[in-house]
Amino acid sequence: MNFSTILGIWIAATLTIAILSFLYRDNPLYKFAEHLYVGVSVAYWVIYAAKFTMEQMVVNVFADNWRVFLETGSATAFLEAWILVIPTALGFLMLTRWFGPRVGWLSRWPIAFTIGLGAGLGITGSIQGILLPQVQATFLPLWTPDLWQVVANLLLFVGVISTIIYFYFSRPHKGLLGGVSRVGITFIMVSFGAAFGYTVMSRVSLLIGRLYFLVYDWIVGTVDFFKALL
Amino acid sequence: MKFLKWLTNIDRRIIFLLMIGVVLVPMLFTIPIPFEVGEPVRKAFNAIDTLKPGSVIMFSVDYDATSYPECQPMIVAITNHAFRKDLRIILLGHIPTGLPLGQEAVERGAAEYNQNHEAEYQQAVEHAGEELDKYTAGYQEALKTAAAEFNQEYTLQHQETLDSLVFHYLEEVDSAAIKFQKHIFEYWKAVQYAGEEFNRHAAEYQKILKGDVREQNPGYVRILERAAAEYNKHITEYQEALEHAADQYLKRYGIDFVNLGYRPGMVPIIVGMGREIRDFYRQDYQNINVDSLPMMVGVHNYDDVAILASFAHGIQVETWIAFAGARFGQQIIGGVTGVVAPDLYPYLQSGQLAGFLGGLKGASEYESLIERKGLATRGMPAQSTAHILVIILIVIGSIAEFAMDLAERRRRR
Repeated sequence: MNFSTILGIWIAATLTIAILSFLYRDNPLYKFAEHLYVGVSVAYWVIYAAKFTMEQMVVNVFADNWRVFLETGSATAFLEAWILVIPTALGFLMLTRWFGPRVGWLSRWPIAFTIGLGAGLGITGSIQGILLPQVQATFLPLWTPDLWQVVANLLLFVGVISTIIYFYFSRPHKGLLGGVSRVGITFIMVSFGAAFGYTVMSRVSLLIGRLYFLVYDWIVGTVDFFKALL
Repeated sequence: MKFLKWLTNIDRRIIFLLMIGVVLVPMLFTIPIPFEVGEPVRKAFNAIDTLKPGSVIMFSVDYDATSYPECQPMIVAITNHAFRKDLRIILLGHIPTGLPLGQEAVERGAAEYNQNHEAEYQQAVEHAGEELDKYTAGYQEALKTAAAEFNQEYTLQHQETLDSLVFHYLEEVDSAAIKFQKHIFEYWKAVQYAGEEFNRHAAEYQKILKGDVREQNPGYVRILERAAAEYNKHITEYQEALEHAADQYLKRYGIDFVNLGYRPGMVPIIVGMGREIRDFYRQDYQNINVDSLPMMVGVHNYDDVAILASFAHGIQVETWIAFAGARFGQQIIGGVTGVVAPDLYPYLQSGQLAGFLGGLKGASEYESLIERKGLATRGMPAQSTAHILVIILIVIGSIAEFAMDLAERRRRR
């Protein structure tokens, strides 16, 4: 382990302890670490946007196509170069919000474009990719030679129907409708319980990850580093 | 009553301290806690395990530092498995702050593979060198015989030149081999460069030699040319042997894995890649043209990707299912945080997901299947003790609440 690695580990360990100090109560050290994290993340986004979006998707593509056009006179290359002006202009229009309402309304065009694209893709994706396959997956045989499979299929069938009925609000939940919707809410509660259990596991995992880092990378790593020096 | 009240309202800082304690103890003193591998993880493992060598897996890194402890062991484990099966990896991501984590995991997987096969690789390189040495000696012998036969003293000088060239070439290869672990791509280029340089010098040497001697004795030139042609053939064989050894025992950037980087707009990119990956990724994260990366030859769209593995801390797996899975029939596995895992069971049941790893538990199950103890396996005992503490606290809180309620009712009577 070299000096720069151990220095990085010390910085990470200090910031981890600063964040964990919030468990006691809010304090300036925590605030510092939190703001630093936000700042570094924003810097990352800016660099990535500049490199992977502006450079690779606009500048490089334009330069490549323009070179091909100059060398071969290809009309396709010419179009592929200049068509980039449209998304680039839309991107810059998004920034007009900074300059007040007189020009800020121009930012609605790229927003409208984004929403239109997102809605179009989202609707087809949700129906084709989620809704239909999920509905199809509930069409299960309620009788098979495997008894456990029968129980599982029945449970799935009852769970789906009763949960959908729970979300049917056009009539009061009384009588048969009330009974079935109570079964539905039971299924929903079970799923909430499973989600809560998984969430607990997830949060504990994060703690394990950080404590493992503090014990083995920071403390043991530092001891090893100084042992190697001596 | 006071005690019961205290039990239902324990200071959160005491609970935090208890939690840190129960996590630290099994971490410091290894407590083995057995566990079984669940169906979602086994299915994910089988999906990868049954792929043919050379198949391409696409990793979508859709998490960042906040989910590092859960998702990182997954990507490390699957990378290890993939390299063992000689699969090739394409890395891309939709969260900029997460992509370097994916890169780190894949590079670590490659380094681990290279380290495990270092001895075999060195052996293969040495063997190739020994084979070449045999022919070097033969070539020198041919030169000597020719020189002796025609009594040309200056041949010895040229022989020394060639010797020094061969020595220099082997020295270059050796020094590159020493550095290979650190900069494997550069090493590969260095070997190629050294080979080209050597061939150039050898050609020049032969030209000079021919010019001097041809006039005096054409028979001698013929012997030299034959020897040189024979030797060049063995140099090529040597280079091929090195390349073969590297293919077999090393995982190298551009050949076994690539990082295509980040692009904004997840859904249009997923849909567009069904037609052509290069429409969105012309260059990799280092600005290297994708077409110049050997691994990307013949990889154009989902037809050329055997499995897509989405490592996510949000809805990204569902997005891949909705667009790449439903539209293009792409086989998908997930590696997700515990919070996301319950949402994926319906997709497993419907067959839209080939398998998934949920949280640290999923990662540890995968590690057990590939028989590699990683961060997840080491963290699982702590996970179990922490869960026991949570259960105990819930039970104590519920009993105390129940007892207080009972006491309150009695008091009212």
